[in-house]
Amino acid sequence: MPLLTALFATALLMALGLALALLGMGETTLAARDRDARAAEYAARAATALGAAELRLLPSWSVVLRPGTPSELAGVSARVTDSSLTPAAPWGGTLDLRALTSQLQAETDAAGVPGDAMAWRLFAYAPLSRFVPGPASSRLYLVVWVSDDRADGDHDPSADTNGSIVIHAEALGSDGLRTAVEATIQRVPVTGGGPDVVRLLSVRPRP
Amino acid sequence: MTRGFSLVEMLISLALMVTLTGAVMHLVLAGQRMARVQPEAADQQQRTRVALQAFARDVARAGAGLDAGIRAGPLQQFFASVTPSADGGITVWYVSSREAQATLATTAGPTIAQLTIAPNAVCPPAQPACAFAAGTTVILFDASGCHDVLRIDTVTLTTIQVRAPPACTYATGSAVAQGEVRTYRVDRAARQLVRRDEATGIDLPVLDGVDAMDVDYFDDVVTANPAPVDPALNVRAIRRLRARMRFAASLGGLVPDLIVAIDVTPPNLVLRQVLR
Repeated sequence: MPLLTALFATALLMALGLALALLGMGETTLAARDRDARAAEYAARAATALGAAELRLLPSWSVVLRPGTPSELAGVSARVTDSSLTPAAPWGGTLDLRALTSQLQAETDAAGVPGDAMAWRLFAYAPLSRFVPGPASSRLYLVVWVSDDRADGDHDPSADTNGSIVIHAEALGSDGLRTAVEATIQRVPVTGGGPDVVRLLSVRPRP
Repeated sequence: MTRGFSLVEMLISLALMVTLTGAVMHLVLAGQRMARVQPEAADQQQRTRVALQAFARDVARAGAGLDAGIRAGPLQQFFASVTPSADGGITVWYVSSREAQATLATTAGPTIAQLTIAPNAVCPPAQPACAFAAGTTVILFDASGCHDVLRIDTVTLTTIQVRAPPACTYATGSAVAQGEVRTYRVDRAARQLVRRDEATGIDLPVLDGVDAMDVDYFDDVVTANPAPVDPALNVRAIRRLRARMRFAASLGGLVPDLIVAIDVTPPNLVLRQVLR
Protein backbone atom coordinates (compact mmCIF):
# COMPACT_ATOMS: atom_id res chain seq x y z
CA MET A 1 0.00 0.00 0.00
CA PRO A 2 2.71 2.62 0.85
CA LEU A 3 4.50 1.69 -2.36
CA LEU A 4 1.35 2.27 -4.40
CA THR A 5 0.73 5.60 -2.67
CA ALA A 6 4.28 6.71 -3.35
CA LEU A 7 4.09 5.63 -7.01
CA PHE A 8 0.77 7.36 -7.50
CA ALA A 9 1.99 10.55 -5.84
CA THR A 10 5.18 10.52 -7.91
CA ALA A 11 3.23 10.10 -11.14
CA LEU A 12 0.85 12.91 -10.19
CA LEU A 13 3.69 15.24 -9.27
CA MET A 14 5.50 14.44 -12.49
CA ALA A 15 2.39 15.25 -14.53
CA LEU A 16 1.90 18.51 -12.67
CA GLY A 17 5.57 19.39 -13.05
CA LEU A 18 5.48 18.67 -16.75
CA ALA A 19 2.37 20.79 -17.24
CA LEU A 20 3.97 23.67 -15.36
CA ALA A 21 7.17 23.36 -17.34
CA LEU A 22 5.22 23.49 -20.61
CA LEU A 23 3.27 26.48 -19.35
CA GLY A 24 6.51 28.19 -18.38
CA MET A 25 8.01 27.54 -21.80
CA GLY A 26 4.90 28.89 -23.49
CA GLU A 27 4.96 31.96 -21.31
CA THR A 28 8.63 32.54 -22.08
CA THR A 29 7.94 32.27 -25.80
CA LEU A 30 5.02 34.71 -25.60
CA ALA A 31 7.08 37.19 -23.60
CA ALA A 32 9.95 36.94 -26.09
CA ARG A 33 7.61 37.50 -29.03
CA ASP A 34 6.08 40.49 -27.31
CA ARG A 35 9.52 41.96 -26.60
CA ASP A 36 10.66 41.35 -30.20
CA ALA A 37 7.50 42.96 -31.61
CA ARG A 38 8.08 46.07 -29.53
CA ALA A 39 11.73 46.21 -30.54
CA ALA A 40 10.68 45.88 -34.18
CA GLU A 41 8.24 48.78 -33.84
CA TYR A 42 10.99 51.05 -32.55
CA ALA A 43 13.41 49.80 -35.20
CA ALA A 44 10.94 50.52 -38.02
CA ARG A 45 10.39 53.99 -36.65
CA ALA A 46 14.14 54.55 -36.50
CA ALA A 47 14.49 53.33 -40.09
CA THR A 48 11.96 55.95 -41.15
CA ALA A 49 14.01 58.67 -39.48
CA LEU A 50 17.23 57.38 -41.02
CA GLY A 51 15.60 57.25 -44.45
CA ALA A 52 14.44 60.85 -44.08
CA ALA A 53 17.90 61.90 -42.96
CA GLU A 54 19.44 60.31 -46.06
CA LEU A 55 16.84 61.79 -48.38
CA ARG A 56 17.42 65.32 -47.14
CA LEU A 57 20.97 65.13 -48.50
CA LEU A 58 19.66 64.82 -52.06
CA PRO A 59 19.02 67.98 -54.09
CA SER A 60 15.96 66.43 -55.76
CA TRP A 61 13.82 63.42 -54.94
CA SER A 62 13.01 62.62 -58.55
CA VAL A 63 16.40 60.92 -58.83
CA VAL A 64 15.37 58.53 -56.06
CA LEU A 65 11.97 57.79 -57.53
CA ARG A 66 13.38 56.76 -60.91
CA PRO A 67 13.81 53.00 -61.25
CA GLY A 68 17.33 51.73 -60.78
CA THR A 69 18.77 48.45 -61.94
CA PRO A 70 16.90 46.23 -61.30
CA SER A 71 13.71 48.27 -61.34
CA GLU A 72 12.86 47.48 -57.71
CA LEU A 73 15.80 49.64 -56.67
CA ALA A 74 15.65 53.40 -56.29
CA GLY A 75 17.58 55.46 -58.81
CA VAL A 76 19.87 56.53 -55.97
CA SER A 77 20.34 54.35 -52.92
CA ALA A 78 21.06 55.32 -49.35
CA ARG A 79 24.53 54.84 -47.94
CA VAL A 80 23.40 51.79 -45.97
CA THR A 81 22.57 49.00 -48.38
CA ASP A 82 23.44 45.34 -48.54
CA SER A 83 25.46 44.06 -51.46
CA SER A 84 22.71 41.72 -52.63
CA LEU A 85 18.95 41.72 -53.08
CA THR A 86 18.90 38.27 -51.52
CA PRO A 87 20.90 39.02 -48.37
CA ALA A 88 21.43 36.65 -45.49
CA ALA A 89 18.85 37.21 -42.79
CA PRO A 90 20.31 37.79 -39.31
CA TRP A 91 18.20 34.92 -37.97
CA GLY A 92 19.29 32.50 -40.67
CA GLY A 93 18.20 31.83 -44.23
CA THR A 94 17.95 34.49 -46.91
CA LEU A 95 15.60 37.36 -47.63
CA ASP A 96 14.19 38.05 -51.07
CA LEU A 97 13.93 41.83 -51.25
CA ARG A 98 12.56 41.79 -54.78
CA ALA A 99 9.70 39.55 -53.64
CA LEU A 100 9.08 41.81 -50.63
CA THR A 101 8.95 44.82 -52.95
CA SER A 102 6.48 43.06 -55.23
CA GLN A 103 4.37 42.13 -52.23
CA LEU A 104 4.31 45.70 -50.93
CA GLN A 105 3.48 46.97 -54.41
CA ALA A 106 0.65 44.46 -54.76
CA GLU A 107 -0.78 45.43 -51.36
CA THR A 108 -0.66 49.12 -52.32
CA ASP A 109 -2.27 48.50 -55.71
CA ALA A 110 -4.95 46.30 -54.15
CA ALA A 111 -5.97 49.11 -51.79
CA GLY A 112 -7.45 50.81 -54.85
CA VAL A 113 -6.96 54.34 -53.56
CA PRO A 114 -7.49 56.93 -56.29
CA GLY A 115 -4.82 59.45 -57.20
CA ASP A 116 -1.40 59.03 -58.69
CA ALA A 117 -0.07 55.50 -58.74
CA MET A 118 2.58 54.68 -56.17
CA ALA A 119 5.70 52.75 -57.16
CA TRP A 120 7.82 51.54 -54.27
CA ARG A 121 11.59 51.56 -54.74
CA LEU A 122 14.13 50.03 -52.39
CA PHE A 123 16.16 52.83 -50.87
CA ALA A 124 17.97 51.35 -47.87
CA TYR A 125 18.24 47.74 -46.69
CA ALA A 126 20.59 46.19 -44.17
CA PRO A 127 20.60 44.45 -40.81
CA LEU A 128 19.89 46.75 -37.89
CA SER A 129 23.46 46.24 -36.69
CA ARG A 130 24.69 48.04 -39.81
CA PHE A 131 22.26 50.91 -39.41
CA VAL A 132 23.23 51.32 -35.77
CA PRO A 133 26.74 49.94 -35.26
CA GLY A 134 27.51 49.00 -31.70
CA PRO A 135 27.73 46.15 -29.27
CA ALA A 136 23.97 45.62 -29.01
CA SER A 137 23.05 42.43 -30.79
CA SER A 138 19.86 42.46 -32.80
CA ARG A 139 18.40 39.99 -35.21
CA LEU A 140 16.28 42.50 -37.10
CA TYR A 141 16.62 43.44 -40.74
CA LEU A 142 15.49 46.90 -41.86
CA VAL A 143 14.16 47.82 -45.28
CA VAL A 144 13.23 51.32 -46.41
CA TRP A 145 11.21 51.96 -49.55
CA VAL A 146 10.30 55.32 -51.06
CA SER A 147 7.46 56.28 -53.36
CA ASP A 148 5.95 59.40 -54.82
CA ASP A 149 2.76 60.45 -53.03
CA ARG A 150 -0.66 60.07 -54.59
CA ALA A 151 -1.36 63.80 -54.51
CA ASP A 152 1.51 64.65 -56.82
CA GLY A 153 -0.88 65.17 -59.73
CA ASP A 154 1.66 64.52 -62.49
CA HIS A 155 0.64 60.86 -63.00
CA ASP A 156 4.30 59.96 -63.05
CA PRO A 157 5.50 57.84 -60.12
CA SER A 158 9.10 58.44 -61.22
CA ALA A 159 9.00 62.19 -60.72
CA ASP A 160 8.33 64.33 -57.68
CA THR A 161 6.66 67.59 -58.59
CA ASN A 162 5.01 68.63 -55.33
CA GLY A 163 8.01 68.15 -53.03
CA SER A 164 6.38 65.37 -51.01
CA ILE A 165 7.21 61.68 -50.96
CA VAL A 166 6.29 58.73 -48.77
CA ILE A 167 8.72 56.52 -46.86
CA HIS A 168 7.72 52.98 -45.96
CA ALA A 169 10.03 51.30 -43.46
CA GLU A 170 9.80 47.74 -42.23
CA ALA A 171 11.60 45.81 -39.54
CA LEU A 172 11.75 42.09 -40.29
CA GLY A 173 12.52 39.41 -37.76
CA SER A 174 12.46 35.70 -37.26
CA ASP A 175 9.23 33.67 -37.31
CA GLY A 176 7.47 36.10 -39.65
CA LEU A 177 7.90 39.17 -37.47
CA ARG A 178 7.16 42.21 -39.64
CA THR A 179 6.42 45.75 -38.48
CA ALA A 180 5.83 48.69 -40.80
CA VAL A 181 5.75 52.45 -40.42
CA GLU A 182 4.96 55.04 -43.09
CA ALA A 183 5.98 58.67 -43.06
CA THR A 184 5.31 61.59 -45.37
CA ILE A 185 8.13 64.07 -45.85
CA GLN A 186 8.15 67.35 -47.70
CA ARG A 187 10.92 69.58 -48.95
CA VAL A 188 10.43 73.31 -48.74
CA PRO A 189 12.57 75.76 -50.69
CA VAL A 190 14.25 78.39 -48.56
CA THR A 191 13.57 82.00 -49.45
CA GLY A 192 16.80 83.60 -50.56
CA GLY A 193 18.44 80.38 -51.72
CA GLY A 194 20.32 77.64 -49.96
CA PRO A 195 19.43 73.97 -49.65
CA ASP A 196 15.78 73.08 -49.17
CA VAL A 197 14.62 72.23 -45.68
CA VAL A 198 12.85 68.93 -45.14
CA ARG A 199 9.77 68.55 -42.96
CA LEU A 200 8.56 65.28 -41.51
CA LEU A 201 4.82 65.73 -41.82
CA SER A 202 3.43 62.55 -40.33
CA VAL A 203 4.46 59.15 -39.05
CA ARG A 204 1.87 56.39 -39.09
CA PRO A 205 2.38 52.81 -37.92
CA ARG A 206 0.81 50.45 -40.45
CA PRO A 207 -1.67 47.95 -39.02
CA MET B 1 7.84 -20.48 15.87
CA THR B 2 7.51 -17.15 14.09
CA ARG B 3 8.20 -14.12 16.21
CA GLY B 4 5.78 -11.16 15.73
CA PHE B 5 6.46 -7.40 15.84
CA SER B 6 6.79 -5.72 19.14
CA LEU B 7 4.61 -2.75 20.05
CA VAL B 8 7.59 -0.40 19.80
CA GLU B 9 8.38 -1.62 16.27
CA MET B 10 4.76 -1.15 15.23
CA LEU B 11 4.67 2.37 16.66
CA ILE B 12 7.90 3.35 14.90
CA SER B 13 6.74 2.00 11.54
CA LEU B 14 3.38 3.73 11.93
CA ALA B 15 5.09 7.03 12.73
CA LEU B 16 7.35 6.66 9.70
CA MET B 17 4.38 5.92 7.44
CA VAL B 18 2.38 8.88 8.72
CA THR B 19 5.35 11.23 8.26
CA LEU B 20 6.07 9.97 4.76
CA THR B 21 2.43 10.09 3.67
CA GLY B 22 2.09 13.60 5.12
CA ALA B 23 5.13 14.81 3.24
CA VAL B 24 3.87 13.31 -0.01
CA MET B 25 0.41 14.79 0.48
CA HIS B 26 1.95 18.20 1.20
CA LEU B 27 3.87 18.02 -2.07
CA VAL B 28 0.80 16.91 -3.99
CA LEU B 29 -1.34 19.71 -2.56
CA ALA B 30 1.34 22.32 -3.28
CA GLY B 31 1.62 20.99 -6.83
CA GLN B 32 -2.13 21.11 -7.27
CA ARG B 33 -2.20 24.72 -6.10
CA MET B 34 0.58 25.68 -8.48
CA ALA B 35 -1.23 23.95 -11.31
CA ARG B 36 -4.32 26.00 -10.52
CA VAL B 37 -2.56 29.33 -10.07
CA GLN B 38 0.03 29.29 -12.84
CA PRO B 39 -2.37 29.08 -15.83
CA GLU B 40 -4.35 31.97 -14.34
CA ALA B 41 -1.16 34.00 -13.84
CA ALA B 42 -0.03 33.22 -17.39
CA ASP B 43 -3.44 34.20 -18.73
CA GLN B 44 -3.30 37.45 -16.78
CA GLN B 45 0.12 38.21 -18.26
CA GLN B 46 -1.06 37.52 -21.79
CA ARG B 47 -4.22 39.62 -21.41
CA THR B 48 -2.03 42.39 -20.03
CA ARG B 49 0.20 42.26 -23.08
CA VAL B 50 -2.76 42.41 -25.45
CA ALA B 51 -4.31 45.36 -23.62
CA LEU B 52 -1.06 47.27 -23.45
CA GLN B 53 -0.37 46.62 -27.11
CA ALA B 54 -3.79 47.95 -28.14
CA PHE B 55 -3.35 50.98 -25.88
CA ALA B 56 0.23 51.70 -26.96
CA ARG B 57 -0.51 51.37 -30.69
CA ASP B 58 -3.32 53.90 -30.47
CA VAL B 59 -1.34 56.30 -28.33
CA ALA B 60 1.64 55.97 -30.69
CA ARG B 61 -0.54 57.37 -33.48
CA ALA B 62 -1.43 60.45 -31.45
CA GLY B 63 -0.81 63.72 -33.19
CA ALA B 64 -0.50 62.41 -36.76
CA GLY B 65 -1.75 65.30 -38.82
CA LEU B 66 -2.22 66.45 -42.39
CA ASP B 67 0.19 65.44 -45.15
CA ALA B 68 -0.15 68.57 -47.28
CA GLY B 69 -1.43 72.10 -47.27
CA ILE B 70 -0.77 75.03 -44.99
CA ARG B 71 -1.75 73.02 -41.92
CA ALA B 72 0.43 70.03 -42.75
CA GLY B 73 2.33 68.45 -39.90
CA PRO B 74 1.53 67.24 -36.41
CA LEU B 75 -1.79 68.20 -34.84
CA GLN B 76 0.16 69.36 -31.80
CA GLN B 77 0.97 72.56 -33.73
CA PHE B 78 -2.67 73.55 -33.44
CA PHE B 79 -4.10 71.79 -30.40
CA ALA B 80 -3.20 69.15 -27.84
CA SER B 81 -3.55 65.72 -29.38
CA VAL B 82 -2.93 63.91 -26.08
CA THR B 83 -5.01 65.10 -23.15
CA PRO B 84 -6.17 63.76 -19.81
CA SER B 85 -9.91 63.12 -19.91
CA ALA B 86 -12.32 64.30 -17.22
CA ASP B 87 -13.03 60.72 -16.13
CA GLY B 88 -9.39 59.95 -15.37
CA GLY B 89 -8.46 58.49 -18.72
CA ILE B 90 -6.43 59.69 -21.65
CA THR B 91 -7.73 60.99 -24.97
CA VAL B 92 -5.74 60.82 -28.19
CA TRP B 93 -6.43 62.53 -31.52
CA TYR B 94 -4.93 61.54 -34.85
CA VAL B 95 -5.57 61.80 -38.58
CA SER B 96 -5.83 58.22 -39.76
CA SER B 97 -5.99 58.57 -43.53
CA ARG B 98 -3.43 60.02 -45.92
CA GLU B 99 -6.10 60.56 -48.55
CA ALA B 100 -9.28 61.87 -46.87
CA GLN B 101 -7.91 65.34 -46.11
CA ALA B 102 -9.52 68.55 -47.30
CA THR B 103 -10.44 72.09 -46.33
CA LEU B 104 -13.80 73.75 -45.76
CA ALA B 105 -15.18 75.54 -48.81
CA THR B 106 -17.73 77.41 -46.69
CA THR B 107 -17.99 78.29 -43.04
CA ALA B 108 -19.26 75.76 -40.50
CA GLY B 109 -20.52 76.27 -36.99
CA PRO B 110 -22.83 75.21 -34.19
CA THR B 111 -25.91 75.46 -36.40
CA ILE B 112 -24.44 73.89 -39.52
CA ALA B 113 -24.23 70.11 -39.77
CA GLN B 114 -23.35 70.03 -43.46
CA LEU B 115 -19.72 70.64 -44.31
CA THR B 116 -18.88 71.73 -47.84
CA ILE B 117 -15.37 70.66 -48.66
CA ALA B 118 -12.70 71.77 -51.08
CA PRO B 119 -10.10 69.16 -51.88
CA ASN B 120 -6.56 69.89 -50.83
CA ALA B 121 -3.34 68.66 -52.37
CA VAL B 122 -3.59 65.12 -51.07
CA CYS B 123 -7.24 64.64 -51.90
CA PRO B 124 -7.60 61.95 -54.60
CA PRO B 125 -8.95 63.85 -57.62
CA ALA B 126 -11.33 61.16 -58.84
CA GLN B 127 -12.92 60.42 -55.49
CA PRO B 128 -16.28 61.95 -54.43
CA ALA B 129 -16.10 63.98 -51.22
CA CYS B 130 -12.32 63.57 -51.16
CA ALA B 131 -12.51 59.91 -50.07
CA PHE B 132 -14.55 60.70 -46.95
CA ALA B 133 -17.07 57.98 -46.22
CA ALA B 134 -20.26 57.61 -44.22
CA GLY B 135 -19.82 55.95 -40.86
CA THR B 136 -16.31 57.26 -40.34
CA THR B 137 -14.99 59.99 -38.09
CA VAL B 138 -13.83 63.41 -39.18
CA ILE B 139 -11.62 65.88 -37.31
CA LEU B 140 -12.20 69.56 -37.96
CA PHE B 141 -9.66 72.16 -36.81
CA ASP B 142 -8.28 75.59 -37.56
CA ALA B 143 -5.20 77.66 -36.84
CA SER B 144 -6.72 79.18 -33.70
CA GLY B 145 -6.73 75.79 -31.98
CA CYS B 146 -10.45 75.16 -32.26
CA HIS B 147 -11.08 71.48 -32.92
CA ASP B 148 -14.04 69.12 -33.13
CA VAL B 149 -14.62 65.47 -33.75
CA LEU B 150 -17.71 64.54 -35.73
CA ARG B 151 -19.35 61.45 -37.14
CA ILE B 152 -20.18 61.36 -40.86
CA ASP B 153 -23.72 60.27 -41.70
CA THR B 154 -23.73 60.77 -45.46
CA VAL B 155 -21.50 62.20 -48.16
CA THR B 156 -22.20 63.73 -51.56
CA LEU B 157 -19.81 64.86 -54.24
CA THR B 158 -18.70 67.92 -52.28
CA THR B 159 -20.47 67.80 -48.93
CA ILE B 160 -20.28 65.84 -45.71
CA GLN B 161 -23.38 65.54 -43.55
CA VAL B 162 -22.31 65.10 -39.93
CA ARG B 163 -24.43 63.70 -37.11
CA ALA B 164 -24.11 66.83 -34.95
CA PRO B 165 -22.76 70.27 -35.83
CA PRO B 166 -19.35 71.35 -34.50
CA ALA B 167 -19.07 73.33 -31.30
CA CYS B 168 -16.73 75.94 -32.79
CA THR B 169 -17.26 78.25 -35.71
CA TYR B 170 -14.87 77.49 -38.54
CA ALA B 171 -13.94 79.80 -41.37
CA THR B 172 -13.46 78.79 -44.96
CA GLY B 173 -10.12 77.03 -45.34
CA SER B 174 -10.24 75.23 -41.99
CA ALA B 175 -8.89 71.70 -42.10
CA VAL B 176 -11.08 68.58 -42.35
CA ALA B 177 -9.58 65.12 -42.17
CA GLN B 178 -10.60 61.57 -41.48
CA GLY B 179 -9.32 60.58 -38.07
CA GLU B 180 -9.92 58.94 -34.74
CA VAL B 181 -10.43 60.38 -31.29
CA ARG B 182 -10.32 57.76 -28.59
CA THR B 183 -10.35 57.83 -24.83
CA TYR B 184 -8.92 55.01 -22.74
CA ARG B 185 -10.20 54.86 -19.17
CA VAL B 186 -10.98 52.36 -16.46
CA ASP B 187 -14.59 51.66 -15.56
CA ARG B 188 -14.09 51.00 -11.85
CA ALA B 189 -17.55 49.51 -11.33
CA ALA B 190 -17.14 46.99 -14.13
CA ARG B 191 -13.36 46.70 -13.53
CA GLN B 192 -12.75 47.08 -17.24
CA LEU B 193 -10.33 48.98 -19.42
CA VAL B 194 -12.65 50.77 -21.82
CA ARG B 195 -12.04 52.57 -25.11
CA ARG B 196 -14.52 55.29 -25.97
CA ASP B 197 -15.00 56.55 -29.52
CA GLU B 198 -15.43 60.28 -28.96
CA ALA B 199 -17.28 60.73 -32.26
CA THR B 200 -20.09 58.43 -31.21
CA GLY B 201 -19.67 58.20 -27.44
CA ILE B 202 -19.70 54.42 -27.68
CA ASP B 203 -17.64 52.51 -25.12
CA LEU B 204 -15.85 49.37 -26.16
CA PRO B 205 -14.45 47.09 -23.44
CA VAL B 206 -10.81 46.28 -24.08
CA LEU B 207 -9.97 44.13 -21.08
CA ASP B 208 -11.68 42.76 -17.99
CA GLY B 209 -10.14 42.71 -14.56
CA VAL B 210 -8.46 46.13 -14.65
CA ASP B 211 -8.76 47.97 -11.34
CA ALA B 212 -7.06 51.26 -12.05
CA MET B 213 -5.05 53.27 -14.54
CA ASP B 214 -3.08 56.43 -13.95
CA VAL B 215 -1.01 58.38 -16.43
CA ASP B 216 1.98 60.65 -15.92
CA TYR B 217 2.79 63.19 -18.61
CA PHE B 218 6.28 64.39 -19.49
CA ASP B 219 7.59 67.21 -21.64
CA ASP B 220 11.00 65.57 -21.98
CA VAL B 221 11.96 62.64 -24.19
CA VAL B 222 15.67 62.62 -23.42
CA THR B 223 15.94 62.14 -19.66
CA ALA B 224 15.52 58.57 -18.46
CA ASN B 225 13.50 59.52 -15.39
CA PRO B 226 12.03 62.95 -16.01
CA ALA B 227 9.69 64.69 -13.61
CA PRO B 228 6.04 64.58 -14.65
CA VAL B 229 4.47 67.80 -15.83
CA ASP B 230 1.04 69.05 -14.92
CA PRO B 231 -0.98 68.58 -18.12
CA ALA B 232 -3.39 71.27 -16.94
CA LEU B 233 -0.63 73.85 -17.27
CA ASN B 234 0.64 73.21 -20.77
CA VAL B 235 -1.05 70.29 -22.43
CA ARG B 236 0.61 70.98 -25.79
CA ALA B 237 4.03 70.44 -24.27
CA ILE B 238 3.35 66.74 -23.66
CA ARG B 239 5.88 64.60 -25.51
CA ARG B 240 5.80 61.35 -23.65
CA LEU B 241 3.58 59.54 -21.18
CA ARG B 242 3.77 56.71 -18.72
CA ALA B 243 0.62 54.70 -18.08
CA ARG B 244 0.34 52.41 -15.09
CA MET B 245 -2.41 49.84 -14.96
CA ARG B 246 -3.33 47.68 -12.02
CA PHE B 247 -4.79 44.33 -12.91
CA ALA B 248 -7.04 42.75 -10.32
CA ALA B 249 -6.02 39.81 -8.17
CA SER B 250 -7.84 36.60 -8.98
CA LEU B 251 -8.51 33.15 -7.54
CA GLY B 252 -9.24 34.68 -4.16
CA GLY B 253 -5.91 36.45 -4.01
CA LEU B 254 -3.80 33.47 -5.02
CA VAL B 255 -2.77 35.42 -8.13
CA PRO B 256 -1.77 38.82 -6.72
CA ASP B 257 -2.41 42.25 -8.22
CA LEU B 258 -0.30 42.93 -11.27
CA ILE B 259 0.90 46.49 -11.80
CA VAL B 260 2.34 47.26 -15.21
CA ALA B 261 3.80 50.53 -16.45
CA ILE B 262 4.39 51.40 -20.07
CA ASP B 263 6.18 54.42 -21.53
CA VAL B 264 4.98 55.71 -24.89
CA THR B 265 6.61 58.47 -26.93
CA PRO B 266 4.23 59.15 -29.82
CA PRO B 267 6.51 59.94 -32.78
CA ASN B 268 4.27 62.69 -34.09
CA LEU B 269 4.68 64.62 -30.84
CA VAL B 270 8.44 64.70 -31.18
CA LEU B 271 8.90 65.19 -34.91
CA ARG B 272 11.82 67.39 -35.65
CA GLN B 273 9.84 69.66 -37.85
CA VAL B 274 12.68 70.78 -40.04
CA LEU B 275 15.76 68.84 -41.06
CA ARG B 276 18.48 71.19 -42.21
